[in-house]
Amino acid sequence: MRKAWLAPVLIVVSIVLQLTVLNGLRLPGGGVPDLVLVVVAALAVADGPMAGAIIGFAAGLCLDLAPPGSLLIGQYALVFCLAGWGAGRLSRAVGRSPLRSVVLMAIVVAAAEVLSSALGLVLEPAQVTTAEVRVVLPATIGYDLVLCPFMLYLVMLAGTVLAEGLAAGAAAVGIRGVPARREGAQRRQHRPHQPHLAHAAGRTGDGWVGGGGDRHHGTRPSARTRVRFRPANGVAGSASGLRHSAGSLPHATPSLRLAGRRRGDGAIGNYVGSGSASRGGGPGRHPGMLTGASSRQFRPRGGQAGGSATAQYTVRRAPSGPGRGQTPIKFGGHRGDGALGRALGSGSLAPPRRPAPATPRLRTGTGRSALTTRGSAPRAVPKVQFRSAARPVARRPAAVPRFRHNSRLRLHGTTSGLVSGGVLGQSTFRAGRQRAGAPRLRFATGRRGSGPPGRGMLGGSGRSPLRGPSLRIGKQPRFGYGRRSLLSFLTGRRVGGSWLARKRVGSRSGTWLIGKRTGGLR
Amino acid sequence: MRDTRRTRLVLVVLLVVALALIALDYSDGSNSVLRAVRNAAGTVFGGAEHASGSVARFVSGGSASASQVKSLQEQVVKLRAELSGAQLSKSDLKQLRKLLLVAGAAQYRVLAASVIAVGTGYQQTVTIDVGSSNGVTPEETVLNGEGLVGQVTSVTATTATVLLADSPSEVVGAAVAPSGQLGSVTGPGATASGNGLMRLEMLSSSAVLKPGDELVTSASVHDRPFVPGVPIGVITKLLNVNGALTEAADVRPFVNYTALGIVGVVIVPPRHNPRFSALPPLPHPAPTVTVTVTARAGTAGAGSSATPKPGG
Repeated sequence: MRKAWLAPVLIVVSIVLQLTVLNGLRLPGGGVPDLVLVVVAALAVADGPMAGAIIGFAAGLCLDLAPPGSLLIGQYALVFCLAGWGAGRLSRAVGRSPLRSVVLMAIVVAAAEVLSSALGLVLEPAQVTTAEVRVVLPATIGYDLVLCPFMLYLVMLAGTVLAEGLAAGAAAVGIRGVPARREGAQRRQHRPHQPHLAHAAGRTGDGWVGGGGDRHHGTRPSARTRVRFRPANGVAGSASGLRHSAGSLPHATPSLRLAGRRRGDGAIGNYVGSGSASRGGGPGRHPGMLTGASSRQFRPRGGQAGGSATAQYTVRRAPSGPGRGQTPIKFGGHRGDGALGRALGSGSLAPPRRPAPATPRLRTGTGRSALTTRGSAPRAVPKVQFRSAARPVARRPAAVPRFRHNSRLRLHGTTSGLVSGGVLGQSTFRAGRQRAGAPRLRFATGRRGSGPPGRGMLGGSGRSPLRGPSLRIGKQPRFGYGRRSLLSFLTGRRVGGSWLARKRVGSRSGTWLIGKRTGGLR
Repeated sequence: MRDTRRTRLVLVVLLVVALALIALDYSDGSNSVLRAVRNAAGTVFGGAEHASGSVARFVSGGSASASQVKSLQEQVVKLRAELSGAQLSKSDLKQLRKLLLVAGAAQYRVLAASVIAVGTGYQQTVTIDVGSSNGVTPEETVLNGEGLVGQVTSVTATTATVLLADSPSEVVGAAVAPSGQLGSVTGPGATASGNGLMRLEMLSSSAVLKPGDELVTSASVHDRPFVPGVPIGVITKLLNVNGALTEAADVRPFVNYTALGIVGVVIVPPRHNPRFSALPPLPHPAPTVTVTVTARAGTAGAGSSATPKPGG
């Protein structure tokens, strides 16, 4: 919190400086900067409309009363009060951009000077003449505008230094350009390296989770930051929880899809290695990166209905590659076999149409998918090898997918390297409101008939390649479809869970359901 | 925004208060409450300005680099020896000397003061560092070594506010130097150069003016607000206003109103009208205007390019 005495001290100092030093200056043009007005505007930009109005009124009144003042008492109070309120109000409207704040300040200051001159012309015609205004007003406004950015910076710096200490203040001002305004603003501020969850795309069942690349999935967020999810906000491969270098940032937006449209669908898949491979730099930085596939680019094909269980990935060569056709590799899952971390898809892998010998390829594994339910065709286990890769991707350590409290998923050194890490670490979900209880994010239930109704897991898949359904016995959803309804209340039984589930899934998105529960997303 | 209503309420209340203050001050300038408030604020801010002014003077006075204790001690001894008057800087001393010359010539008893604050915006006012505790009362004449500065309008214990003769609201009765014809001088207000031309309007329609005539203040009733004989300025240009009954002229003031340092408050007016004795001595021999550049003859030639003829 900004120190309360900052504004009075600044105002008094600026008034004394204005009266003793600035007004005595002989500057070209005939005017002198109105330091008090600029300080009022800067404080208002920093503190908001109410504080701005009060500060402006007080500063103006002091300026009216301070000894050489010969105008009517209240003139400057009126003008500065309006200026402070206006600056504070507009600063909330324009956001936190430094440039816009300065422009806004300039507008407000110029308007206040004009208003002050007009008021003087009306109220004190003997002291203020039109010729004087014509000479003094432009020069004064000009000097004010010169002063604006410096005073804004100074006020911000002072506030930040007082609030956070010298080093933090300097860092905040120096790095971010605009230091923190207030704590509330800080909290509202966008933090790029935190997972956010916000409204998904408009479709039912879409929920995108993306985390920043610089964040380990296990890192617990600070207590005062709320977990928010934002659509398409992440960095490719961020779900793996490993740090990225700047060079490996993706072109495409990763989407970590939770839940599918249909129950029992969906997986948490992230586009491992998407985009970054096309740069060709730094092979092996990321466990999921397509090593050496510099001419390749994974392009997510948008969201398929039903979430990423049926997500298709198309591996394309760069258009510049001579003599190479497109090699679409589709990872299609079928309904019901979504999996945690099926990054490159565990479903049927469409073979490349025309495999080029020198081109890195995905080799489909032959193992039978653990999550195959139909048993009709052998599903591919994601096992990706590239010929040009120095070592198998699968050997690389993978991040631990942690989507559940007390997850039994463990890191196996030799497990599939494409298992995506969990950006939804349990600690992430325990922040904020859900701190007390276990994270219960259920986007979809299990399939009907596969267990007690209303069971679900993150990602919505009824099945995981790594865990059988039996492991989830005993879990009851805390919210979602198995919630006690009026019907169940009346009948005393948990009636209607699945029916309600169908109803709700049909009309509400999983994100909405989360938001309804957590109260944070609307 | 959660607090919009409250913010608006506060804003409206503050605006109403400000408007009420303006109305109160406008209708009754001598309201006792407002005056008390103004005095209190004047005391507080005057003290701050005092301190600021003394700091500024100390800094501008060229204090030594205070790195060594020994030199500081020597300075203390020196300063003690020289007493307070020696703290004046050289320019201050020059101004003070000129002021005393003028005051001595016109038999004023003046109280020296220095300007510590200047009014904001369009206010042609300054604050000086003497007040009622020094015997200053409102409506006293303020001058410096060049000429008329203004009049005291309000006084606190330690400060006084001076309305400059520069202000358009100030009307000064003036007498033209050789003839003694009467007129009034009005200030130009703030101008780009900071040193604009005043406007002289004669009272009598038969007055004859010529450029180069000098003006002094004429006597006011009970010598308030202006004591007689304070130099004002010199006529630079005659204005022929169509339809005007009396003559008007532009007057260049002697005083630079943007560079005021040491001023004097006339606390005891002269017993006799000093007439024109305080005017700066005329250059001898009398100047004859020789116009050297014809293009500038109208503007600059009359005022400043008057060169004395050698041996004339």
